[in-house]
Amino acid sequence: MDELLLSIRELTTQYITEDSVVHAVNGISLELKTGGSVGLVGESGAGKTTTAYSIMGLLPKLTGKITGGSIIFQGKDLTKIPEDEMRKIRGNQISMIFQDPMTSLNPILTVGDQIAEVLEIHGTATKEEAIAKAGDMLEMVGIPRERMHEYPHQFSGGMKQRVIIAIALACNPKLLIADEPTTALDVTIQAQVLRMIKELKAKLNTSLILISHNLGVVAQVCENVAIMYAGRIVEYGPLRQVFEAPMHPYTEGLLNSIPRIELDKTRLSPIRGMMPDPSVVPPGCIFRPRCPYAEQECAVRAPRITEKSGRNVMCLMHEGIIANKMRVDHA
Amino acid sequence: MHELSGAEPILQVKNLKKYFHTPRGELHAVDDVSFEIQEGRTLGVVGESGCGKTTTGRAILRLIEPTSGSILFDGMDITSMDKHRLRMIREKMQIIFQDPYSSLDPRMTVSGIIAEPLIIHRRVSGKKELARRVQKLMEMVELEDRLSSAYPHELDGGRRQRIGIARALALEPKFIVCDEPVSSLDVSVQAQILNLMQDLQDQLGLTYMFVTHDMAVVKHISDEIAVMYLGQIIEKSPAKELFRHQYHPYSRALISAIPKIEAAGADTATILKGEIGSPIEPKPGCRFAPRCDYCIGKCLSENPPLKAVGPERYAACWRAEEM
Amino acid sequence: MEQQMTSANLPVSGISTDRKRKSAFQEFWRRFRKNKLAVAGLAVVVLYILMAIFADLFYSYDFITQNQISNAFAKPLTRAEVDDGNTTVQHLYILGADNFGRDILGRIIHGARVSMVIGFTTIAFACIVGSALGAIAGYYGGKIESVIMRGTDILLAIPNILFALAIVAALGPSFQNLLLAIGITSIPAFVRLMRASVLTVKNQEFVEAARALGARDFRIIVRHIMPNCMAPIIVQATLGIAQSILSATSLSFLGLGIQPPSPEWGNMLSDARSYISYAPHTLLFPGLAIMTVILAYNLIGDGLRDALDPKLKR
Repeated sequence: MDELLLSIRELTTQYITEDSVVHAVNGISLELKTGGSVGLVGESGAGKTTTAYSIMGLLPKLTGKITGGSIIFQGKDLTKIPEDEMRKIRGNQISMIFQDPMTSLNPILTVGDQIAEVLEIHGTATKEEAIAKAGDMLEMVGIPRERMHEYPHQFSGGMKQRVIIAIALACNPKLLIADEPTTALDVTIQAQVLRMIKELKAKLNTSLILISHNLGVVAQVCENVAIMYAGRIVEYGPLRQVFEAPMHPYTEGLLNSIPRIELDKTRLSPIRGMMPDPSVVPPGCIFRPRCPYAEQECAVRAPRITEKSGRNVMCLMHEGIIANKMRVDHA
Repeated sequence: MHELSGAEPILQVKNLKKYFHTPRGELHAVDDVSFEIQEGRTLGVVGESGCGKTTTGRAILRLIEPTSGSILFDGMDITSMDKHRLRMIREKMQIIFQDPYSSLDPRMTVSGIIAEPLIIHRRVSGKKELARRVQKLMEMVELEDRLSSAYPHELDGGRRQRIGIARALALEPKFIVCDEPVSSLDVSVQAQILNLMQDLQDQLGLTYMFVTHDMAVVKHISDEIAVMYLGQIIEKSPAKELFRHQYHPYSRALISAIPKIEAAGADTATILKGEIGSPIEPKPGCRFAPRCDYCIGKCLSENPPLKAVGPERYAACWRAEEM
Repeated sequence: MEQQMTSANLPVSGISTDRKRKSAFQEFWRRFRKNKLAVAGLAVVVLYILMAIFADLFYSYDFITQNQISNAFAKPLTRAEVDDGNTTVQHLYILGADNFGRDILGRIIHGARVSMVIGFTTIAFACIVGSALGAIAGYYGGKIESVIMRGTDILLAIPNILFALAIVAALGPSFQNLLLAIGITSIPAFVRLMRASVLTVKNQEFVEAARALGARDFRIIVRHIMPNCMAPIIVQATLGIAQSILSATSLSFLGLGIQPPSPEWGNMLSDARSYISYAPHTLLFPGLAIMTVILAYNLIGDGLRDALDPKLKR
């Protein structure tokens, strides 16, 4: 149970085009135990999806490139293995669910065939077995077996997302990466799907990386959370602790800027400014221009990861370089 | 009609219906919706996709022609207005769109977009005055001056949405339909825009109809909230109260389904069975009945009307009092 | 606090507007330039246009329409005496002479003028009429759309050449009638293309925003919809020019277009085909001229399609 499944070390991924280099992921490190779950939270451009694509080996061939670090999955470095070996892992041991259920299914194949297809690709079953298993998978995600002969357009958005989850789990993968799996769904349907993901994860002992911009969604499902900003993990730790007492100014800003059901706020406190240009890497702390606590030192000195009571944070305030001015100190 | 105490409402919608013809029958997008908004207040309209909230907003501005019902703006019935008078009234009623990418003409500059309403309605007499007015509007929505000759695609979502707001404000409207104005924005930018909209409301005395699917946002910005389900308002309540107690089973499920940060890990959602029904030729009876745990015989035969269930609270449920 | 003040004034990401804006055309050009074949096509077309404009500087019209029977079928690079009315002078037939002893290069150069005029005017006509009809059909829909689209369907059902033949036969073979015939047959492509683009653009929210502002239909169509539909129209116009030059030469070849002795590539081919085995160069060079110009326009069209496609933008 406590065995390490995935270990990302100093992963750096860039998109290289003719006239610029986009620094999408800048040296992130992350560990995931078998059966564990981590939420990647951040705004658009934070590098969440690029991280997922790097793990899956699905970066766009011409432009995307892992330029440093390693991704150790069950003892193998995924950044070093050849494509045909990666293909055996993909969909079999690591599966991914994409955001848009409307376009993730092939409209001219029945849903049963699409589930069976992944089983056949990975050679784990004969045609008949695969089709029988497809029926089982559909039932597991709460869709009657008889519907396997229907086409995607006969399903609603929530149902399609269930089918996609069934495909992703068909080969009983060790790791499931879900990229905004419920963003396109309505709240009540989202609740259904999130509960299902949670239950299936527990039942199959699958590890989960859940990518979302919605802090609430991550809070429902994950044990740990990694807050991403401009290609870095600025804060990492047990989800409850991070959300209750954020250590990084960005996490704090994020929590303050969202309207909350549970609190009666009359006014939100947004983070000023916006995401930095990912093709320019300034010296110092990347969050400095937007940080309410920034000092001179932050402009020149890049913060490193500091470990504090089981949590990681990337801020000079916690390195003891500058004074900690956040309201709560968690030393 | 239920009476709200106090000032004369700026907008009164009575029995608004919008049906679309489809090959499979009549689609009841908005089915007998009535409400009013007091001047300077915000009515939040929430619901899931297909509940008719967007169609309601569009029909009020007659961007979609209503099938029946009346819409009184400042006491004038705009459903019966001809094209010419409608154009005049459009100065007073505006709209802010969800998608700041597709709602701005990609071939026009920022100042061109903001100036357009002023040109259409001949509000300015010369180039100088136009430039001055545009500059003032940009200031109002906190857009940097240097962006005036930029094109929308060069800007981020937040700034684009500010352009959309400036355009809507150009004619000094009294009432603005806000159609999911922050749904496509990142949370930190979303907060900036929500604050801006609140500030503008205070400064200019604007009335908002705020359409959204985001319960947290609607709670934050609204004075009153109307919850829609399959073309009908099923509950209406002052914003804060709605989150304390719900009289309609659907509102209850909707609010419990919101993933909450505080309740990390604890799954408190009431999961609704099934999915939203079809709005095409709906069956008699309550629209929510097939998914409702409280459904009784009457629910299947008679559609409950929206009736008072408490002070300033209305619900369309036969069993609202028991909830 | 001081820190906050300065950071608020920093240039923010996502908008290096000055750099980007100046280059709206440059950006297009940068992308177009990457396609070497399209650039080659553009060079060829520019060359033909220059030739057409300055045709009289190379050869006078009288000279290339005057028979010099004694020099008939002169081979390329032949030097021979020609009669220019009063005196005889030495003349170098660079690409040889045709069956009447007229200079082929001269006739090709003057023919370029005719072809370019035909190409541009017919397409300008078709583009304006077709786009307007297409925009109206797409924007208003309903009965108007049915009428316009069925009209274009009928036009499309008649083979272009046949239709042009009918017009020219009915109104007589003149230059104007040729332009009219080709212009009309080029309309349907623009109508369909414009209608299709309008249908996608009109549902975008900025069009609805304009309606909400109280803008009139005319303003919405002209200011908002049509400018956003121009990219495919420009591509079609380029390809259309090639098509209409080809139609003109075909009609002339059939004796229904430009009448001899006026030089036109089609009628040059028509005259030369009887002598194909005896003097192949009389057929070869006008043929090459047609081929290169058509190819060049098509290459430009493909290049434009790529350069104007917003989906390919980074």
